[in-house]
Amino acid sequence: MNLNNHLFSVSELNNVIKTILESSFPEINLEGEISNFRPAASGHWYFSLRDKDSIISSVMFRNSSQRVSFKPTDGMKVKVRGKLSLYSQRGTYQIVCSSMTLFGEGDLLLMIEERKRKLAGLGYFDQDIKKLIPRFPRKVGIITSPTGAALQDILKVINRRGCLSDILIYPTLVQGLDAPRGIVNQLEKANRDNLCDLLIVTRGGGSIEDLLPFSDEGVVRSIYNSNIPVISGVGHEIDTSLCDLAADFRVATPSAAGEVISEGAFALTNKVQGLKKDLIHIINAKLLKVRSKLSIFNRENVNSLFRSKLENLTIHLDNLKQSLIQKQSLIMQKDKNRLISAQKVLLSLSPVELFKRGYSWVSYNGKSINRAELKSGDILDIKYLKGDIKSEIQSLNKENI
Amino acid sequence: MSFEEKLKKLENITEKMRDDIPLEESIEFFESGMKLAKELEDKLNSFEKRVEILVQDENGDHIEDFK
Repeated sequence: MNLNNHLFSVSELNNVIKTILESSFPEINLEGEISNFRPAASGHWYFSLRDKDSIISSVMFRNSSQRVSFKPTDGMKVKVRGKLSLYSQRGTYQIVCSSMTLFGEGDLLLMIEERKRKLAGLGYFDQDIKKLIPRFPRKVGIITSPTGAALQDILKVINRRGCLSDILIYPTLVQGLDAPRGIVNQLEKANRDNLCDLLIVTRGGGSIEDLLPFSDEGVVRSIYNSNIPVISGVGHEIDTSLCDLAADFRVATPSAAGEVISEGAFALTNKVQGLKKDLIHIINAKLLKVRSKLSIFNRENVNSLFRSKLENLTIHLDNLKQSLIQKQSLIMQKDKNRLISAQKVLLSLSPVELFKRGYSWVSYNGKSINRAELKSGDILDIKYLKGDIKSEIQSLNKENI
Repeated sequence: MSFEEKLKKLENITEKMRDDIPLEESIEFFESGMKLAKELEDKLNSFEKRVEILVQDENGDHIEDFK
C-alpha cells in the first residue's frame, strides 16, 4: 500500500493503528502513579497512570480488578501488567490492565520469602517446638495498637461469648519503621513481667507494607524466644506473616483470636445449657410416661370398665337362671313320671281290677266275712263292679280250704 | 463446692436421670440438677473480666483499667 497517496477514512486509519498498536504491545509491565481513579458501578476501574511528565489512560475490567487485594487511590504508586489497545470511537489509546500490585510489593514479597527460608533453616517455625495454648488462660496479654480495629474486634467477641480470663493490653505501634521495635519490647516485657499465661500478637488487615513489621526478623525471633505461648492474628485470611509461622498458634483474623481465648467460657456455657436442656427433656419424657399410665384410671375409663364388668355379670346371672329353670323342669318331669308309674302300680293292686275280672267283695257289718261269725238269715253286703247288693244267707256250709 | 465439682455433679445427675429410676427420685434429681445449672450459669455470668492496659510514662510502667 502506498501510504503517501492513499486516502484513508478515519475508521480505516484507526483500524490500521489499532492493529499495529495491539500486536506490538500485547503484554507489557508499566509503573506509574494512579490519578483520576474512577471505579464504575459495574466493577470496572477507569483511571490514569502518570509520572512527572506524562500520562496514559488506563482501564481495568471487573474480572481483573476483583483480584486486586488493595483499593487504589490517587497518588498511589503501582505496577501494572497489561496490553495496549485503541479506543476507535475516541481515537485514544489506553492500557488495559490485567493485574496491579503496589510498587515495590513484589520486591517486599521476595524479601519476606528469602527471610522465611533463612528463619525456617534456624528452626524458628518447627512444629515440634509449638507450645500448647491454655484452654482456660488466667490472664491474656494482647500486644497490639490500643486504638486499632484488631483490639476492638477481640473485645467485641469476648464480650459476646464471655471470657474467663483477664486481659492486659501491651500497647505498641503496629505499622511503620518503629513498629518492630515496639512489638519486640512488649513481647520481652510480657515475658519478664510474667503476668500472663497467653499472649496475642495482632493487627487488622492492610497492605503488605503495613503488615511488614510482623515479618520482621527481630519480632519473629522474640516470638520464637517467648516462654509464654503466643497466638498470632495478623491481617485477614489471605495475609500470612512470618509471625504467623513462628507463633504457637495462628488465627486468620483478630476476631478469631478473640474466639480462641473465649472458647473455654463459651464451651462451659454451652455445656451447662446443654445439660439443663437434657434434664428438662428427660423429666418431661418420664412425666409423660407416668401420665399415660395414669390415664387408664380417669373417671370415664373407670365408668366404662365398671359397666362392662356389670354387663358381664348380668349376662352370667341370666345364664345361670336359665339353666336353673331348665334343670328344675327336668326334675319335675322325672317326678311326674314316677307318680304316674306309682299310680299304675296302685291301680293294679286296686280291688276294682278284681271286680273287673268278676270278683266281688262280701262283707258283714263292714267287716270281711272271713273274720265274722255267720249264721243263716244274716244280711251280707256284696260289692261288685256295678254296685252293691244286700243278700240274705240261706245256707251256710263251713269248710276249711 | 468448686465450679468444676458442681459441673461434675450436674453431669452425674443428668446421667442418673437417664436410667430407669422411680419418678419421685427423678424429680428430686431434676430439682437439684436445675438448681446446680442455675448456680453454674450465674457463676459464668459473674466472671468479671478485667481489661487493663500497661501504661508507660516517666515513672515507669503501671497498669490502668482500659476504657
